[in-house]
Amino acid sequence: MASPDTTTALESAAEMVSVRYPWRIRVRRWLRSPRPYRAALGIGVFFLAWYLLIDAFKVWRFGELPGLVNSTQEWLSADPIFGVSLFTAEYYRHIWTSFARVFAAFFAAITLGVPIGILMGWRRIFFGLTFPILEILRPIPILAWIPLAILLLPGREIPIIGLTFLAAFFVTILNTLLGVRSIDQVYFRAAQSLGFSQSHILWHVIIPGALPYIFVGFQIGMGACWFSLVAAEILSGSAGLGYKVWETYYYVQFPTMVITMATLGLCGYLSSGLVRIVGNRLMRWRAKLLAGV
Amino acid sequence: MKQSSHGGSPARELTTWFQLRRWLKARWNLNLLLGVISLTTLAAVWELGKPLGIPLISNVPPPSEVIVAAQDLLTSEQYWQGWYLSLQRITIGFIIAQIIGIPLGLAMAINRMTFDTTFPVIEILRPIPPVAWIPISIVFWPTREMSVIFIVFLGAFWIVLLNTIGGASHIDPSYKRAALSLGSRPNDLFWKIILPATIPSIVTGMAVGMGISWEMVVASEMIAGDTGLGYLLWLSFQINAIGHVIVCMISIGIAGYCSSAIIRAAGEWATPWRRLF
Repeated sequence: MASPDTTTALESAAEMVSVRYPWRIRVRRWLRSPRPYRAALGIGVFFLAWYLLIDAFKVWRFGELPGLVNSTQEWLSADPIFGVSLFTAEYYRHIWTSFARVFAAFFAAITLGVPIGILMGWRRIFFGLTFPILEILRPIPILAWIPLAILLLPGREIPIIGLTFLAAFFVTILNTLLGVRSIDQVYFRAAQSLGFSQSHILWHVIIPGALPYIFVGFQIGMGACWFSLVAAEILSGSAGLGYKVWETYYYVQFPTMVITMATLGLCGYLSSGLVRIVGNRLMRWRAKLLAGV
Repeated sequence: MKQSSHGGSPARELTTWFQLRRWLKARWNLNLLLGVISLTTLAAVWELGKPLGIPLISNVPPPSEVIVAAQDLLTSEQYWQGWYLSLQRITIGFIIAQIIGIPLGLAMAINRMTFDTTFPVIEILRPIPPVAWIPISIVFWPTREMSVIFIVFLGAFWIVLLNTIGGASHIDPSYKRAALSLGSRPNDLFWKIILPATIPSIVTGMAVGMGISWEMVVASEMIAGDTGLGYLLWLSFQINAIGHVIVCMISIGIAGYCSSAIIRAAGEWATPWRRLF
């Protein structure tokens, strides 16, 4: 899963270097360029197509889908027909449930995954012992684990968190491993010849060297978390956004289904953004390095 | 000089020991040994989980029961039918994703206007997990088959699109300048520079997309299907045949692994100039 995104850490660092102007100048420049207007055009066409295909003309099967006007009204209504809108407590209860599950699983995955990944990259014997197990388990889709998770883990809540955990866990291990392997061997030799202890090597060579990859892993892992959370909630949940998507389908409350989907997208986007911001903060030194300062 | 290499050395007994150690120390063989050790340990713990009463593991049928279940399942027609149908869905959905994703990605990378208008829409739709599209696609598509294929398509589409854009927009501009100064026309630029330079990242996108496709086919068959390997997995779980569940999991793992391997091999075949590295 790692390879296509390996460049993103570098890119985001390079972006930070090139963007040094104060935000006011940046906004002014952005407004003068054609980009915001083109973006508005694209998004406008998208919503117009939604409106025309579904609300206005009900073309072919599009007539079955929830319309733009209906969904927006439902979302903004203080007294929604199907009980979920911006002004109802139930909406925030589902968001909170999903967020709590994702973050519990994500933090468990990174606290376990990063040390295991570092050990796998650093210690050859450990690598030899664990890598075959990882390679056997990894191709199995996370969603295929759902029955086993329900069977193995107690309660209703822990299987869902367990599945979400698993999704981020493999990605974190693999990216940390790649990150440690990507460090130039010369650094290790230099550290050894300068008399670094093992813990010094860990803190001053391995962790900073692998950090960009680790954060790419975190970003992919966060996406994977939301992805498997939805599936787990659909199949065995009783609350949460994924459960709500399925429930609204079941009870034919289609406008609420669209609201929930949009909310899921927003939550996924925000949590990935959070990981990216933290990563950029922690890797400021890297931006300087790339700028040649 | 020549004589010594013929092996008339006095420390002959030691050499076998050294050879053995070297054989063990050679990385591949050491890894093989460690792999065998770890997998045997895993199998042993799994097998002995029930008699020894290890918590959690004792809930799962041991390997011996799984083998019995495998013999049972591998001879049933439903199982092979599941393989066939899942593979068919994967193939169709995946190919449609390539047919739409690769040209769109290339167009977005080449043409600024296309990129600026399309990318924001993609950024709105992409964060929605494909699994969350399952209900709406059941509503939209006339048959279950089509909705499963649509979900498979969606799983592979985003990653292929993003990889194509990424690959095509990170080409060293000096190649383009060199080609232009040598008299290339925009057409040559596309076929001789942009497309070949993008193929590696398209292949990466396809291999990753294939993995996601398998996730999606399993999810949509479990949630909305009535055939296929994912459905068989869920059905086995519901009738409490856990041995069959594990056989299905392993089958899906093998299928996913092989499909990605095929794509990677095809990618290597399509980019002969990269084999040197």
